[in-house]
Amino acid sequence: MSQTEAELLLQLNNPHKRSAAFSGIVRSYQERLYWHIRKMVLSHDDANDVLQNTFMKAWNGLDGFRGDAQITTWLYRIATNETLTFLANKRMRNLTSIDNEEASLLQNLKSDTYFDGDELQLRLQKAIVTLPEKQRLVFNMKYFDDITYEQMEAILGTSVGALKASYHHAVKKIEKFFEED
Amino acid sequence: MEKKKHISLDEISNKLPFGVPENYFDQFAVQFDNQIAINHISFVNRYRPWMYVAAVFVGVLLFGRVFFTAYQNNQAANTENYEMYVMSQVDEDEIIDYYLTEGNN
Repeated sequence: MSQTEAELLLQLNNPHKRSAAFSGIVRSYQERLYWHIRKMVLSHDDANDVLQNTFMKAWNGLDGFRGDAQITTWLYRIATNETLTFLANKRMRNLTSIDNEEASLLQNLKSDTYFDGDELQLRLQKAIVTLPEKQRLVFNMKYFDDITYEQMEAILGTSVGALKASYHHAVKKIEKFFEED
Repeated sequence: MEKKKHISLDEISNKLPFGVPENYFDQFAVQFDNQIAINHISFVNRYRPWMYVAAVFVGVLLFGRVFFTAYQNNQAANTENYEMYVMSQVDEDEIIDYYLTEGNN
């Protein structure tokens, strides 16, 4: 654990400094976590909701955080769980199949006023939504954020070997999608 | 326009093609600070009745202690007064006679 993290942890355990310390955490991590979530849910409004839930969960769970993991890892884990829960709930609410979920996500993307990509990027996004959820998560983390497999292992609890295989399969599927699309 | 079939991922920018509303992150942080503050207040509100009950309990204990001490002091004073009253009703000769009679027995 770095010295800054250790200091931050001390502040989080001090009831008088807790709010200020957490406020600093929100400011430091909000962008990274937002993009991590946004790549999965695609729409800005949904990403905003999930981000709020993520920080609220972290705030309420501060007493349970003893610094066993890095703050980054801990927050990414919460954000990932919240995102997957959000997508599962959405699926349940709409009683959609995987195919319909793809269509729904693409609809989100097309109707989102904050999508500012070109034609190729739109095709890439279309290809990404065809991937299974976990594979999509791995692909996004590696391709867009260049997160190391070791970090991903700590966040997702999946071995480095499995993550590498997952990314490799995702790339193959995306290239195949481009050929067939 | 015909779509290009053989696209490699290297040809596509890995910059995210999404945007956010202006000042979104600044506003998010401020809103979240407020949310935490409200949560903190509601925590105090939630436990306020229990705080009152605890305060009343402590008050009753303190009052009981003061009352009990005063009661004990009063009892001691009453006993002393009673003894003095009894002694005042008996004259000194009678007491001397009593002790002498006791001594004879």
